[in-house]
Amino acid sequence: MQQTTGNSDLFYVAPQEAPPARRPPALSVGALGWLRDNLFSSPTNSILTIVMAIAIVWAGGSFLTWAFRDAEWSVITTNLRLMMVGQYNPSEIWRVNLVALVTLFLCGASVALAAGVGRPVLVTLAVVIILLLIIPASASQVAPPPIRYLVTPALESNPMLFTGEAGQTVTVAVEPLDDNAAAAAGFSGYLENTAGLQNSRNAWNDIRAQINAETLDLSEYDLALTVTLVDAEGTALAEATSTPGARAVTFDATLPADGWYALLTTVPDDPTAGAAFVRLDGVHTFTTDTGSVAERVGRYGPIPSALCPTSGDCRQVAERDLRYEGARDLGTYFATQLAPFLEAIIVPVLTGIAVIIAGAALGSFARRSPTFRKQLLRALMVAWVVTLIGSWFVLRGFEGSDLLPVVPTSVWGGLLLTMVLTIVSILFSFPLGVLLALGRTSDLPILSAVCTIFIEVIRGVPFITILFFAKLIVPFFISATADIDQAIRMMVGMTIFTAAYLAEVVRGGLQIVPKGQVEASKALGLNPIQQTNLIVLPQALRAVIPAIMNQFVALFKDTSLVAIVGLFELLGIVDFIVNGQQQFRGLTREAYLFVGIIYFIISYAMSLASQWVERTGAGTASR
Amino acid sequence: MSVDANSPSGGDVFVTTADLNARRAAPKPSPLAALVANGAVKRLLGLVYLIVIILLWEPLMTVFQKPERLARGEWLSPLVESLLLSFVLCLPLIVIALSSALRSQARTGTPFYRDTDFVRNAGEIVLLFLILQLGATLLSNLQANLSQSGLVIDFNVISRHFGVELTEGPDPRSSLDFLNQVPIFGESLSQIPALQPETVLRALAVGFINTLRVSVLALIATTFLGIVVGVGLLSRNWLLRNVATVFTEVFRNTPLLVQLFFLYNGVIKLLPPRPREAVTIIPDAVYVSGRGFYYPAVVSNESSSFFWAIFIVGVIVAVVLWRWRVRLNEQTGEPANALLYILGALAGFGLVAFAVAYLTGGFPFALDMPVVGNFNFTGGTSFSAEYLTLFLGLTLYTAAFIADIVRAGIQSVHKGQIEASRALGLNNGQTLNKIVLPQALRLAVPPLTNQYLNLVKNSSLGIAIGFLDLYNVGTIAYNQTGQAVAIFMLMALTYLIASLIISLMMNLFNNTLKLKTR
Amino acid sequence: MAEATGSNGHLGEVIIECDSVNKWFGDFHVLKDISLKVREREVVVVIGPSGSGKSTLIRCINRLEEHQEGKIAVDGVELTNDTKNINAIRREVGMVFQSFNLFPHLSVLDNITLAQRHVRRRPRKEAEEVAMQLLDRVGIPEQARKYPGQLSGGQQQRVAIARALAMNPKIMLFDEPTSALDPEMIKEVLDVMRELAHSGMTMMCVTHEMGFAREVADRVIFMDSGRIVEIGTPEHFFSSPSHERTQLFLSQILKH
Repeated sequence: MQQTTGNSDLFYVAPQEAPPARRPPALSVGALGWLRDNLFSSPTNSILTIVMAIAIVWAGGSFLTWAFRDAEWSVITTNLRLMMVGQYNPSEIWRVNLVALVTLFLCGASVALAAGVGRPVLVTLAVVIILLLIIPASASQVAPPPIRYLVTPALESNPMLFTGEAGQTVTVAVEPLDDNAAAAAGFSGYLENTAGLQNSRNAWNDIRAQINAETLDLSEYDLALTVTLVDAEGTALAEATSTPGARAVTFDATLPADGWYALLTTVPDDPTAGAAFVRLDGVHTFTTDTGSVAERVGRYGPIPSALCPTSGDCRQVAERDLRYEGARDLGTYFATQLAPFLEAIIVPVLTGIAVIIAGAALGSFARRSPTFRKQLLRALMVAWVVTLIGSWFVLRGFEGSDLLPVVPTSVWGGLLLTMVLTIVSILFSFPLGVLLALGRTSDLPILSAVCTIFIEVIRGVPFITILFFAKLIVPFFISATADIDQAIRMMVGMTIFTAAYLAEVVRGGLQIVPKGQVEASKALGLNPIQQTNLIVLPQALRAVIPAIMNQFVALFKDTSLVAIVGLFELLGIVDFIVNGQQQFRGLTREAYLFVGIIYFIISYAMSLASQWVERTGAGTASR
Repeated sequence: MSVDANSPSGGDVFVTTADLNARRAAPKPSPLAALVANGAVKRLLGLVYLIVIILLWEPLMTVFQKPERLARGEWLSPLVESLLLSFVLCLPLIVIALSSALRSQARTGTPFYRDTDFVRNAGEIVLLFLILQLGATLLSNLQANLSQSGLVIDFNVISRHFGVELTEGPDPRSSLDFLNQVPIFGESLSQIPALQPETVLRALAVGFINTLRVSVLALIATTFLGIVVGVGLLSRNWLLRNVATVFTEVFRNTPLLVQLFFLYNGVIKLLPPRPREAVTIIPDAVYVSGRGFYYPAVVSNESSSFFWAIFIVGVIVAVVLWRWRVRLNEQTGEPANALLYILGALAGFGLVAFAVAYLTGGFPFALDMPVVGNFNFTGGTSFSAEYLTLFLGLTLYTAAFIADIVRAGIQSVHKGQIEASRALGLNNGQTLNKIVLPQALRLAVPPLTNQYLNLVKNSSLGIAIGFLDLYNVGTIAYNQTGQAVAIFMLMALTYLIASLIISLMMNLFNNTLKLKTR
Repeated sequence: MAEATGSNGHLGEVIIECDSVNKWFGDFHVLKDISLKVREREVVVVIGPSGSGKSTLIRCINRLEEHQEGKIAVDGVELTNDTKNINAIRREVGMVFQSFNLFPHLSVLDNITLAQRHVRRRPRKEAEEVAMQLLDRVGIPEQARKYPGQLSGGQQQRVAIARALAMNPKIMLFDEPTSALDPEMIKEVLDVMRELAHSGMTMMCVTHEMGFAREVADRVIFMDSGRIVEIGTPEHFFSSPSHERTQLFLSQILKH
């Protein structure tokens, strides 16, 4: 209650008890408030929100439908090794793994030491680990889609090999020829192993063309077919025969033990006898890359020679030879596409994450005590130098060595080549760039002119011209017939290019250092070289760390351009896979999306790390 | 206590009687010394010196180096000879530096090797010597190896025949006879061998025009898109803000080449190539197929010239009206409404022009629509699929960077500026136009220039999808003639000049924006 | 001539000698016929309006600026283009700047030991001992491990003084050492300078602190428009300046 003295408004005393706090109006706080503020704050805003929501739902929906239903992601799973290391000798890949793990460990330790480990990182890592563990496990609960292939007397009916576990139930069916069966979803035989023969897909297309042209009467086209399920020694486990007129024939069989099994089909000799689909249910397809083959051999034994004396004698339910056709639902997508991919990457990714966490733990632990921090810093610097130099030799190998045989850089490819190009160029371009910047800003006119011309010319031309020039000209600097690795020529070109851009960045940093610093060091008696090395350069470089990191991320992305001059780094090898190999023709979207995602993850991580370090770590003097 | 003198003799107490405002002119050094000391002149002389060295290289090399000896693996005497050569080339500088140092020694007694100027000059001479030496070794090696493998650098390659048909851009086969009409130079110009139809130079010119065609359009489009997304990054609308952020992050963190491949192989090339199956954007007018983007062409006829004549008069009137309204506003405070008058003038004269043209000869313009045929579109005009891909790719990629620059520019304007302008009564639009944007632009122009230059250079990626830009044509020319160095130097020069022109224009723009400080 | 006595009694030989020094910045005549003698252990304060050339004069003495005419000699060594002379002089002359100019990327201790180790070639241990003694002397030994960005302005300037003193100079030049400080921190810096003066250091200070000048200076020099207008003892100077320009300047300064 207000107390006023008479008519005067000069005085006011607040009541002894403050009135109770009131809540703000409902529409201005909480979820409703947020909605109003952010999405519907004005008529234009509201319209914008609605339009965008519609657009997002439509675009997102189409993309997700394509990604889950129509896209064929097996191109990635099958070619993972190529994409990661190119044509590096498969038996020597352990060396790449070793180098990668050591590098990841050092990265984790360095970033943790410089900036500490934030909560978002831990959360992200936890989420990734959980997803990696759950999805394949749950996907294996989904029943695998059926495998179906056409059998006609014209096609060689090789045994169809698959692996099975004890107690697993498989269903074998012979399906008559009609559109329904053929259109049903499942894997269908796409390529024959034996060369030069018509494959079942083409055969089916021919037959369907005849049906469309109404030159074929299905009712007279049944095939008398005997299907036998045999084990690795050839002992028959179950058998069924379809007869013309009697439509589908089905049998179930429970596999007695872990091992290889095969479906044998016997057809009559009469070439006009017709065609039928053989369908196999309950069997998972597998990949044929070296690691999986080795694992399979380890678990189920080698391909039974009783059934397949030579490798061309049998077909396998391998993804290389089968193509998924027909509608696909989410469960099938998980089982046939996502799960195999995750299974392929789970071990490397989890190992990598574990190693990063170990390094980060070391780094954060050291951050607490100043002495340990200094020791770890010194140890890390030595470790980095040793790792960088040592990695080159470990990856390349030595003549005549048994442990580390030579793997020439001409077979390095994929992500390995991308990272090597990036890191080598960063290492060599950094000192060169600093020298160029110092030269450009010096008082000596000729030096300044030479550096300026060099920098401006390099910066003024497109990157690929420099790469192309490097490819042509670099060997001629050594001798008329020198044959320098393409990769090394690219490194030279990229180093020079990056050095020119770095020089500009460092020049900006040099301009930031106040003149007073130079005056103070002059007054103390330091000579020009000491002034530059001890006072000016440290401050200049610290000031432009984010810009330097930016340049390195750009360099990482620009390595993709060496694909144009014919090197098989990540983009180049994907291009080769999609355009060069027959069975992956046309899967461009999946492949390029995957490449884009890899680039995105690494670039984004690098820029996040740099922002982080800049914010909490090395650049600032006040801690 | 006070010593009466003009200048103190260094005593303990002193009062001056000199005129405090008197000044003397600085002692003039000898004109030559002044000239040499001038920074710009120094750089120019340095540059001239370098050019002289480069020009004299060949004859000097033949004096000292002999490629056969290098081929035989004898490198000691060539090394000594190149050291001598570098020393000889540095000799004039050494003489100048030494002489000025000795002269100052005679004057002041400072030994020449301790003179600060001499020390600095000596450092430069040593650096120059090292650079010459390094350059000499590298370049002579290069030359020797090139000539050994039979590769000769021949700039006459530009006159050679270019045998590949160029499906994009102007026709390199068109003749230059029209030049004969130009007085004085025309006759001799049209005789230059390199300019004849279907030479390498003509092909390169076509490539350059293609580069310009895609770059200019992409520059405009990406600026608009970048500004829209940039403003969206700061929008109050949560949905818009996040969509803009996702757009920016995705397109910035993936390489342009990946985006181009995806667009080309994964989107555009997957569209049906046949006209009957093409995607219809506007029925009977605009189509997109796997082979390109088809749209109506504007065809002029006789009455078009009437239209244009009157319309141009209208443009001039609009400009005059604009100046008049601006001056009126400054003198009397009446709102200028310049935009209204400009649009009014253009619209009015446009109508009159149209009416006159129609009355005299019929419609001034005809739209030539693309007509769906069996294998091709007849009529209309088109962008090739490669052009479309490159245009879209460059626009989207660069827009992501420009969006970030725009955002940073707008955020750099202090909130206090907006508050002050609101306190003065300016509304949203006026605040944006007169306060925020000018200041934001000042910060944004240099990085924007950078992005524009990047866009032009990135157009060279057209080679990856088959677009016949300058780089692609250059590569084809190299494959045909084997003249890598000559062709690539030509291309590099062209890109450099284009970069220079863009930088200059943006610098001029920047200067008009600069804040005037003390 | 009155006997020149400093606050410490007997003054030494002439250690800084300027003879008809003239300097131009381009066409602008910034130092006009400067002649000056400073003795050992003398404290000289230079005052004057901005633009009068006082900072330029000081910066000429350790060759941060070059004079075009006239002669400057420090401790008998003439300042010319001779690098040996310049280096010798810079070893004997320490300078404290208005904006401190501490090296931000080095700790306080490293700031003070850097030049000792690289110019005087002292071993690290010895340099650090000297540094700690000096930090003690200027009153902030506990800040040794901190970085300049973590210190207040007054503390930074004191570190700058210690940094200059670590080189054992014969002369200390001060270029407006307190002009960039908040009022409450000026006293601590002036205290250090006062102690330095009492300990017998030859000092030449450009400053606006009249109290300091009155108390500590042996001589006060007033400059205007590039000329030395008046030189005198503090008593003479502040109570009865002779030149009218001096009187005008002092009236403007001392009034508020």
